[in-house]
Amino acid sequence: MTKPCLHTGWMIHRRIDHDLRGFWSAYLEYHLSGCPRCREALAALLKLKADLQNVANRETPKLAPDRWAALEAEWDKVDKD
Amino acid sequence: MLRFATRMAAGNADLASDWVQDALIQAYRSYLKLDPEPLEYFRAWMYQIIRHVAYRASGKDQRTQNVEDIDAVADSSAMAPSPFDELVGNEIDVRIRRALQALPETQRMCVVLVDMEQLDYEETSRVMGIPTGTVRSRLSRGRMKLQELLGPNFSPHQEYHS
Repeated sequence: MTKPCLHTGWMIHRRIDHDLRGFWSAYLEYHLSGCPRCREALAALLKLKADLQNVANRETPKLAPDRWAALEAEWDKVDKD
Repeated sequence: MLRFATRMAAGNADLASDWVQDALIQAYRSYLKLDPEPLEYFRAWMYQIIRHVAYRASGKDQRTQNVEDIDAVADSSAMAPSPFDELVGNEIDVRIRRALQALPETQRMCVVLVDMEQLDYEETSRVMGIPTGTVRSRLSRGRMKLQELLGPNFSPHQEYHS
């Protein structure tokens, strides 16, 4: 695992969450252009996030029809209360 | 919601369905007497209800799990692949799920909510009842720990290009 430079760690995490803006965004891009270690750390984190999203996308559990029927009955009961 | 609940129930689909069912009933009851806030943050509000239902049902002892080593996780029967894992049969998925289970609960929740359920920091902060700064720090620690657990072979051999 490649760790980013000490001062850029938080910026890299916020960048992959599209939450880094303004000065810090510009600074990080500038830093990345000259720092292979941070580039590697960023690539690894982007890959991890993509892998996590892929795992989530492959999981599509659904409530069974009998559970929906039970829910509708409960909602009706709440409406009547 | 069911996916999130299933993860909280460590792969137990029946238990997760119970929690989602309870949460949907509770959400509807609350909705009828609610202030406007839950509509503005509806998604976060629903996840928050699921989380409360799950915690209330499972009790504190089952909430926290600290496992330091992925091999220890793999050897633990509690961390054995769920029927869902076997169905998917994807080795990478199984490794990721096991590594996730090995994270401290507070970090795992942040990683699951942001990276898997795609909530933003503000929504995650509402679900967890913690400040957004704490979400960020738990998230970054959780991701670093996940990378450590998954090992070097899991890292990409690619360069970042701006």
